[in-house]
Amino acid sequence: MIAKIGWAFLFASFCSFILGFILQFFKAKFIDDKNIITTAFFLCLSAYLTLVLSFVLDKFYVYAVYQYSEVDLDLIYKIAASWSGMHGSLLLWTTVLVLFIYLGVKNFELKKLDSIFIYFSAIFLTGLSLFLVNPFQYVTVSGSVPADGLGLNPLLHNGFMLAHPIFTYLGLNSSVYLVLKNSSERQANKIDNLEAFGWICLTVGIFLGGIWAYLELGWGGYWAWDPVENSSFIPWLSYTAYLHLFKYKAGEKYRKFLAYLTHFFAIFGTFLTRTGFVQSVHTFSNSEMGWYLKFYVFFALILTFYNFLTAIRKQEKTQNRFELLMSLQTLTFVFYALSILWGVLYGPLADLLFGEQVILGIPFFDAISLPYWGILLSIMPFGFLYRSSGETRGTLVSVIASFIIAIKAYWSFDSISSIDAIFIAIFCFNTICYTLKLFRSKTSDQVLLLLVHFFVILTGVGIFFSYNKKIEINLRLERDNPKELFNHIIVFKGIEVEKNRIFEEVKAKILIDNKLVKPASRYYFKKNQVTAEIGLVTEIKKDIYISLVEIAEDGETVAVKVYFNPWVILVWLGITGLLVSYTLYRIHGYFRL
Amino acid sequence: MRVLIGLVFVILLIFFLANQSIENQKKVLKPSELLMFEKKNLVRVLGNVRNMRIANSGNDSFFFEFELTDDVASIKTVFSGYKPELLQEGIKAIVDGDWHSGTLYAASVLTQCPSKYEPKKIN
Repeated sequence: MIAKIGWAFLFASFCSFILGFILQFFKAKFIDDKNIITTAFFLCLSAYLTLVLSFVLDKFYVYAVYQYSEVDLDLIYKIAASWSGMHGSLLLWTTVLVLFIYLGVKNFELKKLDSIFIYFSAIFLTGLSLFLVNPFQYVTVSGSVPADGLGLNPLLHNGFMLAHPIFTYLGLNSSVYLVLKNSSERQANKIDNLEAFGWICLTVGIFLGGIWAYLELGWGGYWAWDPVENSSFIPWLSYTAYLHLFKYKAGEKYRKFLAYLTHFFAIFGTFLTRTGFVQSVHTFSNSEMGWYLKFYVFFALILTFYNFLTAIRKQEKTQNRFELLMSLQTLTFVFYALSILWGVLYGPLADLLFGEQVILGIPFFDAISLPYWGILLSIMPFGFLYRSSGETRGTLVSVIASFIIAIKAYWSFDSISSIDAIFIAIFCFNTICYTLKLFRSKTSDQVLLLLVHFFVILTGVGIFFSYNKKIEINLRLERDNPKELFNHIIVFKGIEVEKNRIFEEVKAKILIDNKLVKPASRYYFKKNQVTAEIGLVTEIKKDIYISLVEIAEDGETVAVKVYFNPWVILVWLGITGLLVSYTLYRIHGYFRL
Repeated sequence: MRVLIGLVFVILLIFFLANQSIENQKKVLKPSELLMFEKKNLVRVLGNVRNMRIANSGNDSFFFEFELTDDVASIKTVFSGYKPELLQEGIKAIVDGDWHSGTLYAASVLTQCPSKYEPKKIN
């Protein structure tokens, strides 16, 4: 019954969008667009809530519930299981997209072409969930209703993974709001709260995904340039560029183009994630959906290109050096996003055009990222300095001081390479500039914006050093036999076993300088799968990160992998600070208005 | 003038991307195809994992050793990095590394396990 109700809600939502599309197409305005979209949104939301309810109530005859849930799951994981597989996550994706369409249409009047695209998106996605990847399909096993489900993917038994998809979907789908806002005649010349909210959500989503990978996957890192990671990072870059367009006059004409580009990247990311178009460790389905999605992506691409041509046709002379600098920054963001996209598509394109089986891996993405981040971080403080006149002395002092520090560091430490020295100079340049500007700031807005950019730099320092200076060591430890590693004493103190109804966990008790950690191996009964749980000691200068590889049969020896990750804490602090200061900046602006 | 600067910027970018792509591209091969080369750096090899074991390398350290096979031929693979959780006998693995002296020295190993992510087929 519940499956039929859910499907009926979705079908009604689909029909409402079709009605809206027909009325829009024939300019028959006897029912307001806003009413149609409001109805369609609440129907779609009801469909998703019905799906969540079927997870909570253990309705295993519902396809998605049978595939991704089980009786013994905690309530919170049952709810999370609703977006853990292809079917539920696509419905959630659609619901969030429709939410932003609803919010956009509530605030703005649309032009015809844009509204046709919006209706098409909604019809297409609700149609996919209805007819191709329907989570409400009825399931029987050997002719009877299943008493239990197949269980949740063990890697998703993690708090960060509960929130990561929600935030990422909110962030990615808010791009449709950017499209709606910029399609309207009545658009404000300021970033509105929903635009800022979308960017904050996307940043939080990527951030939580990184923490989850770090704590759950056990390979000692938080970013691996996987196509699915890239598919959220590419829209983040264009979204960030879009927000900066509001800071200078010449950026105005590119807003609609960047709104479409961000939305295109968001859809394209979904295409990559859902269809197995590129090899990824994340890819969780190769479905026939690919062909339909290709068509949708192609439609979005054409509109993006059309808006690009419209934007460049508008002539505008930029004389001011601040405007030129901001234009360079926008270009760098967009080219960086396109370069990553190129890296993702290189393999499939080479295969398609030349029949060559090649791919571009992590070294490519690392190599292209260095110059882009170098340019972006170098011009960032100039943005503040050029905004007001009479800052030549401050700039000169910052540049000279930064170079002196970098050269001194380069000559003093053998481990610092020339690339490291360049980035040290950039980091110092930013820090000195922001400190100088901070003393001259007159309003809270200026202070908060400086803080936002200061935290970007802090994150940059963390990423640069944790990524480049990581040390990993394979180690065998015998019980009560201490080993010294980089001035740390590591002792294995025996094993400990814990069991519950979902999994059995074998933990190795390890003392690192008298701090006890318990890296473990967890066996999930239902999925017949083993996962690693890490042991972590966080210090200011570094993380000592241990993952368990093997326990000898007698339990007297363990093989572990030890990672020394420098300055990881700066990454977490930097991104948290960035998010907090930007949120405060927005809240402050809201109340001031 | 500005258009010219823009053009130079774009040309430099394309040149940079092309250069990095050529330098960093990895050929995707099967184990039987890799055997035709005596030495080949930066390769990606797809195959099934067989005979996996942990081997000692002295000084309390260890590495993983396994055979990667495509049912036509198999190659010896050694790896000292992080072993993915799903790397086990019979699993399909994607190995990136350098091939020389009859051994594939893996820099990274990824596993592809469709059963983990894909829905189970139901009749």
